[in-house]
Amino acid sequence: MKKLWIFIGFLGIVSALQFIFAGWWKEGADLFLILVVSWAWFRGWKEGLMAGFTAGIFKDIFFSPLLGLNSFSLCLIGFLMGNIKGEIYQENILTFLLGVGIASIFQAALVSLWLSLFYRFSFLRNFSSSLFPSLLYNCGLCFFVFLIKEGLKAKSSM
Amino acid sequence: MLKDTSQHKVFLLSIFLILSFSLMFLSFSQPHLLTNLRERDYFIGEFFNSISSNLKMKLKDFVESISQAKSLQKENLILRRKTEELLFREKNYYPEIIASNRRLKALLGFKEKHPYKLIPVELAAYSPMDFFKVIYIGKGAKEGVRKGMGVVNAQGLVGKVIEVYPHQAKVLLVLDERSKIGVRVQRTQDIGILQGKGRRGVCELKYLLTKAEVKVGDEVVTSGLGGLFPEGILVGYISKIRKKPNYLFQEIEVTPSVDFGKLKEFFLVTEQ
Repeated sequence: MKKLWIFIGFLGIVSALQFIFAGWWKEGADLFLILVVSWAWFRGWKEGLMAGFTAGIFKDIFFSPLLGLNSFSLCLIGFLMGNIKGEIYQENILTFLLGVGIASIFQAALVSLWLSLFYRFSFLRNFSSSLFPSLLYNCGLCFFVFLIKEGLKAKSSM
Repeated sequence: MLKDTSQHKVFLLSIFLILSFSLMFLSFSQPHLLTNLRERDYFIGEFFNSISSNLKMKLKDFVESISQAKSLQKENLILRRKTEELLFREKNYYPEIIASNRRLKALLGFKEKHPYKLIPVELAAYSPMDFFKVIYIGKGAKEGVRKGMGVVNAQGLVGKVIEVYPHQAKVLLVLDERSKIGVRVQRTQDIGILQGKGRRGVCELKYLLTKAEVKVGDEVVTSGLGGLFPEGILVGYISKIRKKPNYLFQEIEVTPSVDFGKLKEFFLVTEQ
């Protein structure tokens, strides 16, 4: 229950920040993706799946042209990231950043695919515009998320 | 067990993916669904948008104020240096110049000029007989006016007191033929006597040697010789020069700086 409230709190903060930053620059960091990737990486596939779906629904309501567009890709990303975490050494920051990079590409590709199917948008144009430069922002922010998480972990173990 | 876990995973994922796809299809077929949802949450969006724009503006103002502060700091530094330089000059350089000036004057045998006092006085009347030659002023012997006092205004020398009554005094303007004042050409320092030429509205600068290199437009000021007027009061400008061969002096015409048609307020020049 405590975890749920923590997630809701994070989701609220992420939504607020995404709202605020969306007014400044359109192609900024995808904070929902960062939340889902981090949550799945540190909590496992089940929570990642549910976190991805919930965060995706939130993102769809406020920022997407289609309901379910982001929830589809984010729950898939949450699921995959949670599963990958079990297979590899999770405390390696480079693996985490690589995972974030792949997740960003995956998210951009899936969203562009659905948009090209539903609205006949150009896949390549949409893919490239939604991937750059947000991929860099996502990796940059995740770097700090990983450091904070590791710092908190070290503090609690002391 | 592993098979069950994998199946469980795939089952859960499939549920969420199917749910998402259904939502996608639903919102595509019924576009008003998402619009209605957004309208319901419109206030949230507006709230965050206003926060976003306010924050952006404040950040912009902050950045601008920093850049302005930098330029102001630079300007302040320059002004402070300038002030320090001026203070240094005031404390060290100017007193030295003043002291050196006094020393040199003393060495050359010059005397410090007596300070003069200015008494304000107003025009009482023009003389009907000698228009543009004589005026009457509104102060006389009872107010301390004495014969021979100089009369000036902001434009320059007006004339001198020639007769004093209890509450009025008669002033002879520099234009009058009877008026003779010791003057000097400011640029060349040549000394001469300025005499009025009456109704012609000009004066004549007398006793200036032919070799004196004066030119039209040169300022003519009081020489201070005789002690009637302080030194350096503007009298007029040289308007015409005529040099005759074999003559010792040149003929110079001076146009007074004072507009005698608009006389109203003056100062009487008296010793402190």
